[in-house]
Amino acid sequence: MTTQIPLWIIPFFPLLGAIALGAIALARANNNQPAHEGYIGALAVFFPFLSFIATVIFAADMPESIIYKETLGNWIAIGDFQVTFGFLFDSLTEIMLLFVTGITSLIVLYSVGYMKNDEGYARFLSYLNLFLFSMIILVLSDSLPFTFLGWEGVGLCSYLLVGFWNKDWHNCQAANKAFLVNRIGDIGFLLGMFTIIALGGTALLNYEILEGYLKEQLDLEFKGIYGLFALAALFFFFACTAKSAQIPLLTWLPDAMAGPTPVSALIHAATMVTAGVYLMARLSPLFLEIPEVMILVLLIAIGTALWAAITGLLQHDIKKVLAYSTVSQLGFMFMAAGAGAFDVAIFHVFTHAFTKAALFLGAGSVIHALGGEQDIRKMGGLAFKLPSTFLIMLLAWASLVGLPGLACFHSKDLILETLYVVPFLYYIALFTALLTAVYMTRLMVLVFFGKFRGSQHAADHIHESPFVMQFPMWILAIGCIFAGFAPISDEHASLFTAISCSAALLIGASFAWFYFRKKIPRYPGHNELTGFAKKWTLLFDTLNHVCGVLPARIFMFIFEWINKFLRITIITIGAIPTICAEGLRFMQANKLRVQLALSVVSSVILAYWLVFFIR
Amino acid sequence: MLISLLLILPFVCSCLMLASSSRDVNSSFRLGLSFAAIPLILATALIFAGGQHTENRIWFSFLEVDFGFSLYGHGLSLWMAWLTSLLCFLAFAYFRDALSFGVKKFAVGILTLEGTIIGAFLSAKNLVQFLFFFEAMILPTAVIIALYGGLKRRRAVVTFSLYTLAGSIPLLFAAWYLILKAGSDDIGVLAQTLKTLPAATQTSLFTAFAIAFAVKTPVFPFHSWQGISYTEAPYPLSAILSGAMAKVGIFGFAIWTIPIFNVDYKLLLIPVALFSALYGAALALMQTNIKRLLAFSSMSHLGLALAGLFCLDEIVNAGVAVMLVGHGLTAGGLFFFGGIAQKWTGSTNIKNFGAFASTNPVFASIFGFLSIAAVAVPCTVGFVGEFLILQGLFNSGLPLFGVIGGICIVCSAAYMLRLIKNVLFGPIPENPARTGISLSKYEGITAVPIMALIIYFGLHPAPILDSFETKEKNETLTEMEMQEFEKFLESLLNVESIESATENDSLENEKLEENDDEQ
Repeated sequence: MTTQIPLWIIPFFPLLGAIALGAIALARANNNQPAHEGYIGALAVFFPFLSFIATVIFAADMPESIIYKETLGNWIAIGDFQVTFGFLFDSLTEIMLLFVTGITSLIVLYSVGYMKNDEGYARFLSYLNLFLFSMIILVLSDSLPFTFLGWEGVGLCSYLLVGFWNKDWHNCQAANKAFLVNRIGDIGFLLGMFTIIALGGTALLNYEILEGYLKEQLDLEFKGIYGLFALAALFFFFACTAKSAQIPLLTWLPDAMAGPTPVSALIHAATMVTAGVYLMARLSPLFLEIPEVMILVLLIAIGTALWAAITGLLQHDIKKVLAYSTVSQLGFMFMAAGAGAFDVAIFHVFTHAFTKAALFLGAGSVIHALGGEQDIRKMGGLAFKLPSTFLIMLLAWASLVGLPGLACFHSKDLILETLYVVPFLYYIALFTALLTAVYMTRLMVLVFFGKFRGSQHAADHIHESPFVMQFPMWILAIGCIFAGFAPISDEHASLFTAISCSAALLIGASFAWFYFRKKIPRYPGHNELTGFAKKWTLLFDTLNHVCGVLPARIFMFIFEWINKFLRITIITIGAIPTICAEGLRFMQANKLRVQLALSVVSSVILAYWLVFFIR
Repeated sequence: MLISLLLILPFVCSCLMLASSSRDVNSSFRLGLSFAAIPLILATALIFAGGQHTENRIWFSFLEVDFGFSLYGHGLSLWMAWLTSLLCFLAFAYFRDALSFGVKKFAVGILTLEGTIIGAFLSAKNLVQFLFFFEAMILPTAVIIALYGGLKRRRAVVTFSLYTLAGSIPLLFAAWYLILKAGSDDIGVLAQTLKTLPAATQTSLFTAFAIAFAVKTPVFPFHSWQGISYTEAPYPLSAILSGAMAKVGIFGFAIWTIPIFNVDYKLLLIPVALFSALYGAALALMQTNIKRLLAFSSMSHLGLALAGLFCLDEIVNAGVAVMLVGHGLTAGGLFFFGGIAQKWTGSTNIKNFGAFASTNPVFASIFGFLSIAAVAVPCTVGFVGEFLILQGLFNSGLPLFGVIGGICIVCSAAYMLRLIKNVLFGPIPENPARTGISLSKYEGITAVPIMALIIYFGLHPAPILDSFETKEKNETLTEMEMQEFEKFLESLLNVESIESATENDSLENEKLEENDDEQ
């Protein structure tokens, strides 16, 4: 225990990497000879991997039920207002950190191959490192404001990476949307913190102190402050809905697929979007005391899962199918959280991270092989042309739909199990699981089976990805098999749930297999996929538009008119002296005789006044 | 002593600048830059020295009233003076490669302006002295706009001078009335005199004060001068206008309004300030002229700061100071680099910019950094300020204020992202003039301290926050603080009971003295 490495070293490595790579990117920006890509790539993988190693060493040293704390210093400190930088390492942090650093290292390795020959190679890898830094801060911090630093940091990195190919307006639009929607959620986070400050000062922002305070209040039965606690929980849940793309703030995630595929895999599937689930688990002592909010969480989660599964059925973009699938799976995680089983939610976060990362990287490999084609209507029959990618995708598919024995099977069944207290919700969730099987099988069928539907030119250039890309994919695929055995949740699903889930899987998959083998959607002839597409979000984009953009526009219109009115007023007031001056100008006669006459007359009047009125 | 130098030296330097050569641009630039560095060094030294700095003198006597001249450097005053000197220094360094004609005149103008703004910030005791500097700063500004401004500079000068002068006329009359009533222009005496006046008089005096400061800040509906002045002013001056001069208005509210008028206008003034913030944000969302956009964003941020000030909470006040420093740095930096974008493209319309991320990555990263800092992302100084202010608004009695403040922040993200998108992103234009240009030495140097300070204060705002905590550490209270303390006591007890208590005290003292005499 004496040879303990400090906790700050874990986020320090990726920060160093981000700074170093950013400096290289800037220094070589206008240079015709860019820096050696192999060197940059090695540097980019090195730092996240060091961070992963540090986490593993730390986790291995850590005995059960001991919590490490480390305070770095004051951040905002004045009077009673004390906010500090501090780290907290407990079992929840351990799970999150292990898979965050591990999967990030793998995906950075993949990006080294995927982004080869891109103009902004070093910049991209620098952003990935910065993202890892923010994510580590998010899960490692011991207080809400410091978590918020990471929370906004990942949002910022997401913005930078979604709009990475910034020569295309669509990408910029998608990036702006992602940042703004997340920003709206961040206001929820801020207001939640303020509510907690109102309850008992800034000390409560620390997770452990908050937990202790909640226990105290529980003994006192929340005299009069239950409402404030409920409000805080509601605010924090609102923040989670934005980050984890739940109703109502969810349409940014499908749009965020405008970013490069490794980004979609890392940020918009495996790590950042699960931050909402993490925050709920971190604040579980708070949420568990407020049953009303928990019911709301449950309902919203089920609605999101169902909605996203249905929407996923209608997509033609390989990445959008996976994006909606992610939204749906996040819904499953929130279901578990809403039912109070936070360990199960984190378990699903863990298994889903491997599965979805593998799926996205596989999709990236397919896109790479087809030279940037993302439309599944123009794919097909790739199973024998890309055997390695096919096998990886198949494993990940099997895990996601819940094939018994694979990763997501364990966690998903547990989620359904926790829902069984309300049979109605249980059957909706089961139906959603069936839909998952349908859209995922549809994706597999359209991409890998049948005949190739693309152009002859594309068919000639199909090639399997290089080793740098395949290696991380295989590791993740192995994770899809074994991640379910991680000792995160002690419970096990009952036989009934397992059987009903398997039945749903069987029905969904076989339906999709027989239906989509025959009925392949036809390509309309022009590409409608790029970036910021409003289609097929089942009214949610319209809803966002009506609730968010439209009022803003109306306000802008009104303010514009007020501004015009004010300017007119000012001009009018300014004109009054001018008009008066114009009127008085006739006095300014420029003829000598008139002037002389005027001065004589005025002198006489003055003299008269002097003589008669002033004695 | 040092504090007197901080006030006098800018004026002395500007007089000395007159003697420099107007033909030898390089030598007069170097001279001006070293002159501009002097107040910055002095202000930094004063801040490092900590505590508070005062100088008291009698200025002149008129109508049997003694008008004092005292400099008071503490907390908000000193930080604002420091910010002013920093921005003026950077503006001058930036000026070298951005405009670089008439260096001598510019140096004279900027140093005079700097002296007047610093003078206003250091006048926290004598009203007439404050008013002198408050009005004096209009003159050098108008001259610089007239010399270096854009095409419509004549209209801008007239609008700016007349509007701001007219705005402070009620203040002058109110001050005159109040000083004659009080027989002194000391802030403490004024505050005590005000208490004896009838409520209606107090309200009208307050309105007169508030309007003058609202014009300077500017707060809705007194912002009409801002658009054209900021647009027509040269970029370094716009940076000083929004970064330093606008803060005089807020300083006026913080020092010359809230402590004197002990009437609680909280529920009335916070909505006004918040509306101003929302209004500025909504208008910033619509602008296509980069300077106008930055002007309205400035209005929005300062409205939020003002709302924080009206919370009347000491912690929030410290947050306001942090936010003002942060806003000065980010807005100043954005004006500087917006000016560079204009120089390169020859346009102020953001639709004509674009693609700097592809053509000039160094410029793009600086501009992007500053814009993101203006959104107040954690790690930047803006976040610390906004966090404290929103916290204060939320807990100021009506949580709705906090929510509205939050909406302002979302809006700020919206217009800043729009700005970034239009300036930095998009397809590369086929303009041959756009290739092969890069930042010059001085332009690059301008960015370094701004970015470093944004991050530094974002992670470690203690230097600013601590200057608001010295009251507990300093055992000797100044006169002004004694009066504040008395005011606080009076709010606790009834006024009458204090008076009776003092009578009792005096009686007891007399008794004691008698006892002493007997012994």
